[in-house]
Amino acid sequence: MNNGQPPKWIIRLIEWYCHPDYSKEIIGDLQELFFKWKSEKGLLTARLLYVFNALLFARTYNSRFLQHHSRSNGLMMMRNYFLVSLRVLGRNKVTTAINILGLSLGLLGFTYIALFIAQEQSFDRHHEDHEEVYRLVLGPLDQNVGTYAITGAAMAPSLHREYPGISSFARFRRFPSLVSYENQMFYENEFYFTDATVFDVFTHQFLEGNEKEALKEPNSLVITESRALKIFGSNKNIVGKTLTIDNQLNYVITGVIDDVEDNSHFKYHYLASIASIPTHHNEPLRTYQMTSWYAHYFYTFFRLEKNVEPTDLDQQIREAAKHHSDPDNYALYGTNMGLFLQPLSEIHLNPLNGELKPQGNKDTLAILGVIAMVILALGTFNYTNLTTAQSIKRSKEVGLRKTLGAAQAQLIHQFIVESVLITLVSLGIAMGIVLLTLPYFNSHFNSHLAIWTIETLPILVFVFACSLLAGLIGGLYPAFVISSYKPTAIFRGIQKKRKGISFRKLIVLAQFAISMILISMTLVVYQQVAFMKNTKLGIDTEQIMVIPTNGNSSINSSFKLLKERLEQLPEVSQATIAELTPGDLFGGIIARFEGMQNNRSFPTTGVSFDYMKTFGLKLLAGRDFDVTISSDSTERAIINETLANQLGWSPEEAIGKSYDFGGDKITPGKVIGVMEDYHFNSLRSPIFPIVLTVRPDFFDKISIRLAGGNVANQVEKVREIWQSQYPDWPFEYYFADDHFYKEYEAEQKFGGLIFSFSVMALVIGSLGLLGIVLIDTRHRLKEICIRKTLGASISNILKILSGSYLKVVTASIAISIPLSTLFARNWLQDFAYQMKSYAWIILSAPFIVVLVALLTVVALSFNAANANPVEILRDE
Amino acid sequence: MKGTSLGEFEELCLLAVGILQEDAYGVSVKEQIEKHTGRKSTLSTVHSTLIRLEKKGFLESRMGGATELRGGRTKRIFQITALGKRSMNEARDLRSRMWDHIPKILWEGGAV
Repeated sequence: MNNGQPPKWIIRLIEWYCHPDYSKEIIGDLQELFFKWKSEKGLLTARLLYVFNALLFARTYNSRFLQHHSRSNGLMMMRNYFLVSLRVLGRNKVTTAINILGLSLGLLGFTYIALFIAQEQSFDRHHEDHEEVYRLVLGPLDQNVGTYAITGAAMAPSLHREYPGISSFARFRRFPSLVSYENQMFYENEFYFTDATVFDVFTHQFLEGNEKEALKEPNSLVITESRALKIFGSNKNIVGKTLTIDNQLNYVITGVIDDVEDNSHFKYHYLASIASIPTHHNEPLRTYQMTSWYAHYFYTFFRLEKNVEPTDLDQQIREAAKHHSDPDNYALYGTNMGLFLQPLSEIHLNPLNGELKPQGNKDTLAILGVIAMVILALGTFNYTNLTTAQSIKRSKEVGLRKTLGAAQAQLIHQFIVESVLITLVSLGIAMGIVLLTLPYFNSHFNSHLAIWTIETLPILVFVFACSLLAGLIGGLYPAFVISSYKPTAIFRGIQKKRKGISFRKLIVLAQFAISMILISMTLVVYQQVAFMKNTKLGIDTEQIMVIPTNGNSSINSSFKLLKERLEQLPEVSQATIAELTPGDLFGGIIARFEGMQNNRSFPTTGVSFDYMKTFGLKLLAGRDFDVTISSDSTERAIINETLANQLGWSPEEAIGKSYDFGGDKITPGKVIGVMEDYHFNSLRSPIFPIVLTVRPDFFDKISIRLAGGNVANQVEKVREIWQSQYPDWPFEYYFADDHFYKEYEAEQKFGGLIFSFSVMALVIGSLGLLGIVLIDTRHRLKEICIRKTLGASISNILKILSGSYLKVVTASIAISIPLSTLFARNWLQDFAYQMKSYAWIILSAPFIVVLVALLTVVALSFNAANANPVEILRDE
Repeated sequence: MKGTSLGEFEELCLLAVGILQEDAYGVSVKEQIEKHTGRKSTLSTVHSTLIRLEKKGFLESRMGGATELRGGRTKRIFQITALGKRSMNEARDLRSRMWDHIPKILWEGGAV
């Protein structure tokens, strides 16, 4: 240490901060006091007091940075620019309001999209070292890409054993179950069986219980905090309590974990130990589903060792099925058994077939990203445009500043300060609106956006940086234009021929073209959704209520009695039990039809009698399943027309052809009927081949066709019968059409987003036009009045005033139509069934925009055209 | 005019400069104030007040009196200007005029 002297760093700090006029005396004074303190109170206290007192000198009067008579002229001028900016903004209230409104809207859209994109990209990243976690997925070997998210239970243990580099694995088998505790019953869809090592793969906080031990034993269960609160009304002392599952199993709670984050690609509320499966009541679950490489019911996740190169491991396991699974099965199905690793964090934006819930879409994000930029640019353009248009007003100020010695660079500074100021005010407003509207946005789009969290901090910084940049760019053009005026020209009253006009019109043109494109996109999306909803599916979904049984064998086996009792009701016209209802995902089952060389996988669903009647399916040839023909319950198939065509048969020819379920040649069955094609899923995908076959072990859902009329009353009747027959099972149901329409949720959401942003773009564009016309008519007021005194009529003047802008808008139509067509065609490409013609939509979008533009221009021009020449020309 | 009025602390500083005469600078003024009022004040408060008084025209300053104790750094030595004297006088007169207006009975009766 510098023996008994004050700390050097603080002296340097004072010298840096204080104005040189003061720093010497201040340090001197402090030093005097320091020695006094040292002799009175000791060195340490003196040092502390020195630092404390020195810090108190951080004031404005002695700062080298904040001096009014500072030597730094730049800082002083900055102050002046700021003041002048405020005054100018205050003087031009209308244009300032237009600028701020436009920019706020632009920043509002930008902020929302930024938050949304960031949220979509944050999925599954909250797990510790998430980049080490991979999902095992299946895909055809020849395509060399994973396509199917669901895997066999036997794979993970075998891979873990045979291939070094996998540190732990977690398999998930979703099994919706009835959970009861005392007299409460809940159907729980987020019920999974999983490995004891699950918490090595996914990170969770344990409120109670031990993460290493929780799922080791059979019949143990870990639940989330929210379910603990739902069942027990408390999240304390839960461990050790017993829950009854499906009215027959008793699982002991061994742990309570925090809830799964909203930005996870799937959610679970109950995790039962995989060791409980051998005693489960569902036979397929405890037999082949657990042991086969070829029955796919599990989602498999791996955590890799730190030193493992994932791409190497991915290559190594590719053909694992060849070496480690049953050779007979491999010979039959091997080509589709390529194994792939998919990074956990990429699942949400690169979803595969068989995901547990709807995931995100990369293309949508890309489109939104572009829209965000475009909307912000629109708002910025407005500013550029209006400021340039007003440059004549500012020319005298510029002339005077230049005469007094201002360099062009300084003037440029000034205008940039102004634009950044406007941008910051707009950003403040935009953030305020985001805060106010976020809850509505979240509930409408079913999202979980938040704004003030640690995670969103970088986004807020990004938005802030982008708005500063926008302010900078927006201010740059006017800064250069205005600052380039020559003082002599300004004061002699010579104005350059309005050179900015072409650039300004270009901006208006771009704004309107973009509005038109966005509006036509909105209309295309809405029309396509409407088209898909209105198209006849060929399968009835109306008036059908669905009661899920979740594979509970006790309900499945006694369904016959329920069906009889229900069908006696006048309120019910038909009841059936089956595996799937419209909108569900089909599973493929291996089969071989007559004439086929090899087995192939066909979308197959298990049904019972009266399935076709309940869902209004029509036969083209053959007959429906008949309860009185006992062989119909074995391997008999009804196929759809598409499948018959694929196999090269006419409907009539197909009847009686052999059909081998599973391709195992054990019990050869045959085709007994061919149905008319129907849409089972979204019209996004084409009609695929379908096989119906009677398989009681697949039954999952009871579908009841109501007679029509008072629905609430009919549901009540069904409830009464249900409760008398199954008092231990809750009565939960949904309507088949509601369920089916969920197929279109993604499109509707996308439509809603595009709609909001096209309205924003249109408003911003109109505001810009409004401002420009306002300034223009003001400049030309005298011209107008002279024309009027010389006999021009109001309509003449309207023509003159709005003509040039309408030309611009017309040009924007010419640009937007081909682009809109291109975008529409591109977007519609994903749909197997597209609305018939969208030409009228592409044409009507410009019509809307032109109407708005016309109203804006004419309303303002009319005002000017009506001006009284006597008042305007009096001072000439 | 703004700035001609004297705040209480400003007045104390002026008085201290008056007492100290040739030796009025930051540390000494601070010590004088502490000595007479018993009030602790920080150097930065005193210094900023002195500079403010100089800007108002009540004080003027020159540099001088570097000592070894100060590491050879000069002091800013303050002196009361004519304007400063006048405003100190005005402040005292104002007070005594107001004192004169307090009713004697009230005062002697001890009601205040």
